Amino acid sequence: METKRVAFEQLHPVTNLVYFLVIILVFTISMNPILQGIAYLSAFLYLCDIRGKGGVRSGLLVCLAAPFPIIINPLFSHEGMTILMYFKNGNPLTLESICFGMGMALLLIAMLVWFQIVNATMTTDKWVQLFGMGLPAFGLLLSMVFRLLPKLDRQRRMIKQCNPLESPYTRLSMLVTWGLEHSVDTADSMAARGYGSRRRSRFLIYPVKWQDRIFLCLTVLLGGVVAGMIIGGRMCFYYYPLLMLETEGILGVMGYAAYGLLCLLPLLFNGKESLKWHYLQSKI
Amino acid sequence: MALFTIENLTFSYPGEAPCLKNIDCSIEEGELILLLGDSGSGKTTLLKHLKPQLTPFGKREGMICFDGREISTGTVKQGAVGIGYVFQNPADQIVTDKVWHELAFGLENLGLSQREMERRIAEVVSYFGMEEWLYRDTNSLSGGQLQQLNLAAVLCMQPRVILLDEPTSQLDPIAAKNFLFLVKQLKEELGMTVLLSEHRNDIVYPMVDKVAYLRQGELLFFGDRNEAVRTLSNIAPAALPTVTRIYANIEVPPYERPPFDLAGGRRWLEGKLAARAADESETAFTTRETNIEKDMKKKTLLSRRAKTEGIRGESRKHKIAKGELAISIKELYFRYEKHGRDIVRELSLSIKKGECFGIMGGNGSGKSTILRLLAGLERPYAGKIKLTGKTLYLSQNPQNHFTKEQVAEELALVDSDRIEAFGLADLKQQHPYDLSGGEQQRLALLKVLGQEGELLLLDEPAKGLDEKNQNMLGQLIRTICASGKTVVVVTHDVSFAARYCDRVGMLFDGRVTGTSDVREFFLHNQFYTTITRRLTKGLLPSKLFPEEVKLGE
Repeated sequence: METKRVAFEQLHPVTNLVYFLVIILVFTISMNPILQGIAYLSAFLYLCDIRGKGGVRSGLLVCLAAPFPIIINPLFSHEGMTILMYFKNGNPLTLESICFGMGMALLLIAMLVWFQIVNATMTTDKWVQLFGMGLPAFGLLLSMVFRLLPKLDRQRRMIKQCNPLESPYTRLSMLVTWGLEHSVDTADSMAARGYGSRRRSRFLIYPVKWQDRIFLCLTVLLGGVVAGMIIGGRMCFYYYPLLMLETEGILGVMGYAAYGLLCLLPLLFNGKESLKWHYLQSKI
Repeated sequence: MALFTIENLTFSYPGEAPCLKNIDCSIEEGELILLLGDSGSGKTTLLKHLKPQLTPFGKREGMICFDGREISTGTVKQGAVGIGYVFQNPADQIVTDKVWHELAFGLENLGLSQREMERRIAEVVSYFGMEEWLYRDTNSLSGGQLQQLNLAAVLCMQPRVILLDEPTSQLDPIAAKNFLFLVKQLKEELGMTVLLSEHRNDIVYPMVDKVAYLRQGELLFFGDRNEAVRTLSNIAPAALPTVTRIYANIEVPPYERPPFDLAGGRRWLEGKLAARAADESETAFTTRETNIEKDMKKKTLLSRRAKTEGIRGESRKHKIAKGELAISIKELYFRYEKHGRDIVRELSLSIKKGECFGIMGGNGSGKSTILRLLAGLERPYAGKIKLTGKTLYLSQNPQNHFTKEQVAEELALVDSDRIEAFGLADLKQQHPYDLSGGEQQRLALLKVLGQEGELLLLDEPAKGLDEKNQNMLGQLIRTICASGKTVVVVTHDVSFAARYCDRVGMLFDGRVTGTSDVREFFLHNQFYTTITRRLTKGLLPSKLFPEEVKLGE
């Protein structure tokens, strides 16, 4: 899928990771459908921005997962006060359980779209840098695994095509032999470039920039406001026994606005960078 | 002062006869040296001795000095930094998953600071123009790009000398040319010292300073490339570029100014022909007009002779032409992705029983795809393929076919005469992976032939093989054809196709075009033909191979 290179991707992996954690924790723990809706819509917009038509498609595609919780929850949960009808076995079907199923569905699709963004943003080299912060050797190992897996998979397919009649066991042993044989050259190439000769340093392709500091501050600030509201009980939603939204005036609205802003932060950040680019272009 | 001094180097692997014997030579700074020799002559072993981290275990005598000091006593770091090494297989040397990380890998090993690493990577990336692929996955690069990345990664470490062990043997001709051009650029623009072992003499020879020739571990020649012509034309003519080989066949020693490239070769041949014509005209005392007349007569005579020659060579092919069809393809269409472009389109082709058909074409033209379609590994979305027998498919990499731990086990079903004929009889106890490239290719071919089938499909069988191994393989393919089997060969290698195919077609834009008899095909082509033909085009009629060029006729 064609993905546009954007400024948000260029941030330090820690900045990205903290941001994703805050967003996802808020809409999962709060179980508030309005927050989930905001999360879903802004993620949808973001995907459209980076992938164009492909983003629209993948944003809509996740909705296919929605019917499952909507159907399954009322079958097993019979809480709630608004009874719509009775099943054959005497259990009631309640409006609240259907709504809870819908809430679960919203949570599910919001999660799925956000994971797509995580996937697009957290490239392998970001994970490598992230893990390398604590354990440098592990970072390199991870990078080697990311290199090796597709290579082995390609060879597995080649072996399968060339030896359709062999048993899977034989094919696996062929793959292992091939892998070992070819790793000798890799080891030689590492030695030839001085691996193990002294303490390694680390090349950071994503250094900490001032954009990182600002982005991180905004994430913590807005996230703090939202968390405060949730803990303070200003943004709560109850499904049982009756549907109830507890929003106390201006403060609640401000909470939702803060979360909305937080969710749109990457989009605004990319937009700002591209605006700046256009501005610089127009000056030339 | 010499950068490398090798004195009386003898080396043997544990329990084996010496594979390097009494090697003496010295390599000056800024030289580009070509290391020649058959496979198994010790080229790789010698190169690995010049890189302390790669020196194999075994018994070593003699001295190797790098920059005036014995190489094994230097610090590990010195060896890693000062001497760069690029291996044969482009993919196996890659350690990490991103291009930038691969470039940084060696620098990280040296413990350099972020600033220094950035500076060096920036320098090399801009020098090679690799900005576009800095963030790409190494898995998404082609063989040629990978090898360029390997060279760039080595250069980041700012070596004083680069050792290249057959770096282009796994690349297609265009990628190989690009890579070797980079090497030339390093020598010319940076004064880099390079030691290069290579089979592609025709491209490399014009750019080297010195030549080293190894045979069975002995350094039979080391010195200036002009001098090399005198020695090698006697002991190993195949080690010379085609143009020089023809020159050495016709001229008599001492070879004063041997040509190495085509331009030089054509100048020499033109001069030679003009001198001969002048001689004749003098002795015949003819006027200018009659001379031209005579020339005309000669030309018609020659062309008539070429025609009869062609017909004579035709007898076997004639038999094929009468025979029945083995493969017929009608209006075939294929693409890999639903909305992708057609890799094969409107392809119609018929191949006769008992012939060896060559499919040539550029990179990504879909040559391999046609074979995969014939083998039933891919399905066309329109069109028909008619086969008169089962297909036997040999993939580009012979290792894909090895299932057993021993050559003997792989060939359990094959009778011993055949094993003898394929030159594998002495290797029965070996592990398939321990064989040389040429032997692996023959083993895979023989194994595939052991199955039932009449249509043999070979994907780039000559890839990475030196001339000797190519000829052995080509002879085998001819005997397979003679036994009534049909062979389809996909290849980049012009001279291989010219020697061993009956008919050849060029795959272009999804279709096979220009299908014709092999001699006609290569004599008719302007660029896509053998070097001998390019040398003699317009000067001598219908010559495809060096041994055909004689001035006595």
